[in-house]
Amino acid sequence: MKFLRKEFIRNLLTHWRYNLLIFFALSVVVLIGYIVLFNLFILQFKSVSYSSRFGDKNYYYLYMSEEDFNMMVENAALKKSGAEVKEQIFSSPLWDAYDYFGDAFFLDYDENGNKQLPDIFENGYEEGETFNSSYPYQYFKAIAVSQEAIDIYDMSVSEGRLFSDEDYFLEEEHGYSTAVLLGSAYRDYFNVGDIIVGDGFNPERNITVVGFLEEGTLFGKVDCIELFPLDRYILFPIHNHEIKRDGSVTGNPWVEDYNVSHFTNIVSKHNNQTVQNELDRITNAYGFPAVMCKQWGGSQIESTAIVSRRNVWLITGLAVLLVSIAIVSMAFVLNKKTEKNMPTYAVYMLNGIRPRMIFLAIASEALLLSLLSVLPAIWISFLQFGELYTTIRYVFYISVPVMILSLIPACRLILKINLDQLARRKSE
Amino acid sequence: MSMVRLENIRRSYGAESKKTEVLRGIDLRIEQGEMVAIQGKSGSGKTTLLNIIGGIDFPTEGRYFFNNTEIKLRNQNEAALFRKKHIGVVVQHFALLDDLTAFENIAVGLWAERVSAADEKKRVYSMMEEIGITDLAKQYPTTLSGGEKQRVAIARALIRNPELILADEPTGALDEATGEKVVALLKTLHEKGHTIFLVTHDAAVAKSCDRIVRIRDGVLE
Repeated sequence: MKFLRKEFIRNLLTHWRYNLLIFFALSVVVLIGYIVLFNLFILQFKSVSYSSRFGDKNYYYLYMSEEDFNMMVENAALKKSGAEVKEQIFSSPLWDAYDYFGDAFFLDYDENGNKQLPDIFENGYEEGETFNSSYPYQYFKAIAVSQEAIDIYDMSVSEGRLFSDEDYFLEEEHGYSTAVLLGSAYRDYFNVGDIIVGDGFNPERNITVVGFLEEGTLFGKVDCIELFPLDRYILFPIHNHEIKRDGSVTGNPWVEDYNVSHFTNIVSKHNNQTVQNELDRITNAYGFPAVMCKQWGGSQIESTAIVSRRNVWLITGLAVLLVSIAIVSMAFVLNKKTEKNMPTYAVYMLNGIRPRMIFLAIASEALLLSLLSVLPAIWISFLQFGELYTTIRYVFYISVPVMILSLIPACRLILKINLDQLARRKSE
Repeated sequence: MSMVRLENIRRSYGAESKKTEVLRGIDLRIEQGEMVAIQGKSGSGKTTLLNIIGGIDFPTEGRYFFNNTEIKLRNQNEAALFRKKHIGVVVQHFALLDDLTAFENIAVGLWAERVSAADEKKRVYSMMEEIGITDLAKQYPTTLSGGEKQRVAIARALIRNPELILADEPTGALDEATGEKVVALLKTLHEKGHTIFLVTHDAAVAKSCDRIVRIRDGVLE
């Protein structure tokens, strides 16, 4: 350890010019490498996830600016025309529209305080965020869809039935009991016709299992980059109306208030501009505030719109070339530095210091430089994207392997050390 | 008991077709406390022999015993460990590190050992005092004379108190007067009980040793 410490400090200070060069070279490698990874990610996303899983269709969600939304909610006439605008949107031949929102279902722990169902059904399970025992209930993955979604995603059941028209009504007389379709993974735990008393509903109600979805039934949602299976999900119908015990019918205030924006999604073979033009035509006819469409996948999709496939390859190719040049240059500098150190290493070895300790000293110094060299990339990335976690992970994936690769020629040099020849050289 | 015993040591370089045989069956004994000089023309194999004794080079054939234990070094890691335990090496051109002070150069000999900073300081100063170079502690090699450099190099070789000191042309890079001082130092060390094996061209240096062995074309005369 003493040798490591002493040699580490000696080498760092004595060869500070080389170290500075290595630091800059590695910083450039990391920065360019990060750009390469980022571009490849975009490319991967566009070519693999988006095209293969979403097929040739474009998935959009509709939204309004906060200002327009508030104006619509406060203006009774506009609110009324909103229903007609929505009807027009749903009947347009340019796309298929449906309503969707993320829902939730809660189940109390059993009398012994144990979970009633395995963690796999819990919200956030795939992200490693299952609920722990500090909560008195389990929180399950659930989504709610309008009837159109069943057809658009070509859903079918392996047992039971799909939703009927009546399932889209909430009836007070029946205790607001709600029909649900369960993902295929639930088949081991429930049967068709089971009534499950959940927690957290307002008004309080239970759910009735009417069927199990076929295994592998796919669905998508805003900001997802590919369709995902509903095997572990509970599928609710979005209730358009409530029927009170006295026979009066009221609309679902959620669906009414957020009628056009927030819930509505459309699937179209047309591009963003065509879809937006059609939306503008519909809303303008009613003097309705603008409804915007946005393609799923968020920032990644936007990036692909800016960076075409060809450009991504060009940038990636250029980056790979620059990284290669930087790696070769860095290996050269490291080699030069080691070459300069060879008489010193020979003296160490003559004095009983083993070559493996010399390797360790070189590796420690290289590791420090690798750690330092990621800082510029992290800083620039933070300025650009405002987040650190992903960047830090990726830059280390680059800096450490690149440093190891660059060290290979230097290590080979030490392995081939000619102690006799070096010991005979004059002190340098 | 011999400290060093070499039996039929051979060392050759190059491929079979162009093989150069530098040592051709060396048998040699160096006794505990002995000061032995080896002399021979350039290219006769004297430094190669010293290198084999110090584990700097490995024999192609033959057996090497150190304190009656056969030494079979397979790589530089094992060789460094062997030197750390038994050998101190002094070379003609001193092999000092220019970016370290004289004190630090001597301390390099202890870097491979578990020695506290305080103990290291104590041992280095004690060695410098023994060699008579205490006043050079903070100087860098570039400011030292040839004789001073060689004294620092000898101090470094001695700092681990090795059983055997190997010196390759210790006066080769020094003028006559300085060379004599270095030889006197080696002689003093020998009188204190150190075993020394040195390579020299200088007859006067050789004469100050207990025994002189001569080598010609890789064979001891």
